[in-house]
Amino acid sequence: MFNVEAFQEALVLVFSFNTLMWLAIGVFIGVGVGAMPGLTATTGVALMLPLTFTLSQAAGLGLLIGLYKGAIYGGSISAISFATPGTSEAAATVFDGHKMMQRGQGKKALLMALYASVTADFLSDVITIMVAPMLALIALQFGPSERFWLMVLAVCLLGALSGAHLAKGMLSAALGLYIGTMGPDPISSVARNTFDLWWLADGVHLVPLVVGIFAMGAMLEKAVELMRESRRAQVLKDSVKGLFSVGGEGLTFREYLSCWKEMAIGLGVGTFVGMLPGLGSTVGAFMSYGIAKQVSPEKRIGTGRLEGIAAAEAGNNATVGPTLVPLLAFGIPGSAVAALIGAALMLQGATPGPRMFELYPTVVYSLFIILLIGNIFNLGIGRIFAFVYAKLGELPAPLLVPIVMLMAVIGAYAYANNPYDVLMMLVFGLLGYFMRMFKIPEAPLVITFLLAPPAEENLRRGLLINEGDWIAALFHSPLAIGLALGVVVLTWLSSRVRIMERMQAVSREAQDG
Amino acid sequence: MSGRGGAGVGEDVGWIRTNRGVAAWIAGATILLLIYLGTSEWALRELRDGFRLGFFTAVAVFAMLLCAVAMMLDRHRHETDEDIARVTRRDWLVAVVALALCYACFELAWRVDFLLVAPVFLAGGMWTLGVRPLRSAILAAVLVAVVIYVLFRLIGIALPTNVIGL
Repeated sequence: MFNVEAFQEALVLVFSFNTLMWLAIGVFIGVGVGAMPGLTATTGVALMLPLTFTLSQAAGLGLLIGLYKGAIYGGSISAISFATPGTSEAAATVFDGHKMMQRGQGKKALLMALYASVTADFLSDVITIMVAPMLALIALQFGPSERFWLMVLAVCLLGALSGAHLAKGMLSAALGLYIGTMGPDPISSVARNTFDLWWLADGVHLVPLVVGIFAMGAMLEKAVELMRESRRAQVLKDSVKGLFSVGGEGLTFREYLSCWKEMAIGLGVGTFVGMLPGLGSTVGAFMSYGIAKQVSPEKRIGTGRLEGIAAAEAGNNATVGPTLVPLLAFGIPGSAVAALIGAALMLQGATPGPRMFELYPTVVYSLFIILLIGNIFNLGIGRIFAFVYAKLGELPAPLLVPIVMLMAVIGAYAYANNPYDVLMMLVFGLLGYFMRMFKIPEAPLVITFLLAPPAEENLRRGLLINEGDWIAALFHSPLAIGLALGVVVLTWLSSRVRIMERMQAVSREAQDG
Repeated sequence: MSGRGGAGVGEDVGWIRTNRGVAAWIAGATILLLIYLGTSEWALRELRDGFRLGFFTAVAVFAMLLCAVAMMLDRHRHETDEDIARVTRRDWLVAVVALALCYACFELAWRVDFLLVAPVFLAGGMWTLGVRPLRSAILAAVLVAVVIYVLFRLIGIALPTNVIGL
């Protein structure tokens, strides 16, 4: 039910100087993070997460969502300028974007990437705003056993779709469950699995975990790579020079409109992929690009065409809003960034889930408004500063790695002023490095870590309601049985059908062109 | 037995670096966790609602073991990831030393002075990783440390400056 008072309150909160400033800062940092090869949206959001503790709810959301939106677009800048995608999401943009750059149409390509990103992002946000409350209404009807199976299903989906190797995805999820059981149990708060370390009695905190796994792990990989290589990357400085010179060819409104079909494909695919746990924006971009290529072979996408950029960029940015749908409707984060945004909400005292619409309507409305106006900031900042960001691609990694490491240390400590958090972050950094080496996806670990306490809580509530009868607690209703069957079918299917291998085949076909 | 090599790995990298080899290590570590769980008094403690405290932990450990065994037997078992094929003991040493230096930087920054320790850590890191000449690394390090200090100060997090005393 629409709450007018809460909406008005949210408007006041969001349109305050403080929130708009942090939203702008988030987008500004985000586009830069996206443009710099080696930094991803997840790394950026993980590093900024501890800072949200000191900000108001709306300002914290503005910072993280702005950063996320900016980073997904920002990857296209270095993809077009240097054929080095700043983030994996922008890899599909390289095919057409860099060819246009080489033909002297870099400005046109960058503008198409920006406009397609913002268009699809905005429209997918509108869909998110319409769909999430409806799904939340359905989710409110669920009992403990349905919620438990829904979480198990989400974990299986994540494990199955987070990489080409099912066992590695599931191993990551199991590891997340294990770490999630350290500390107090969610019903009676009895400490367990602490290895007799007093500082683990309170459990593992989310901030050191995500900063360690995503930021420190990535920087260790980069540092080792740099120490291994004696040669330094040669940056194509000349190609960037004159990118935004006066004579550069811009994008006409007619050219923008001519790509409506590809943007629509990107919007549809990105929105669908974004709502599914585990797939993410990289898959959205490649699927959208592959479909656009097959639908319009006469446009010769892959030979340096605006349509290719529009499809890829619309496909990745259209996942940004919808990735929050499972989080808001069911309390289940569908991606690593959604988990981090959910964590930011929890740090501020608002637990994501279907009851959030009743309990914290102001937060939900603030989130929706920020999602929408974040696109305006993305458009403005992307348009004005794109040439500066194109230079960021030249920033040498040796400069970046120690800075991110220092930020990770400060972030891990500043969140709770606990030196053991720094120690944990460093241990998780080593784990993150190993996971990267062995190609174990990180997202299932973090998401299962977040889902472990509510899953246990729901199972135990089910047991309490059913007086200790496990069968009745687990299979309380036809829906619970259906979800349990879904888990079995999904696990079997993902071991047989090789979903991610097919996705990768689509991307290879698109690349081979 | 040797790794057949997936992901573009051409040379013989040894069984230990294949998915099966790494999974064997993971399985070994998981068995140690299982032993820890089996010998822990808390794991079997029954709570007031009749639930065993170690139930979910046991589920997690068994799931990890199952995944490790699956990796040892599935169709990817002979493959070797490119990064695992290349990684050396020196790389692990670099990672551990980097982490130790991060911790040393944290301890010193909080005990001594952030604005004195952070530039040293940053400049040292930049120079070691390849920023030349040294004065560029020092300049960048000082600048970055001051910017970080000011930014955190602005958002209400005071980083320690016991010596400089800002």
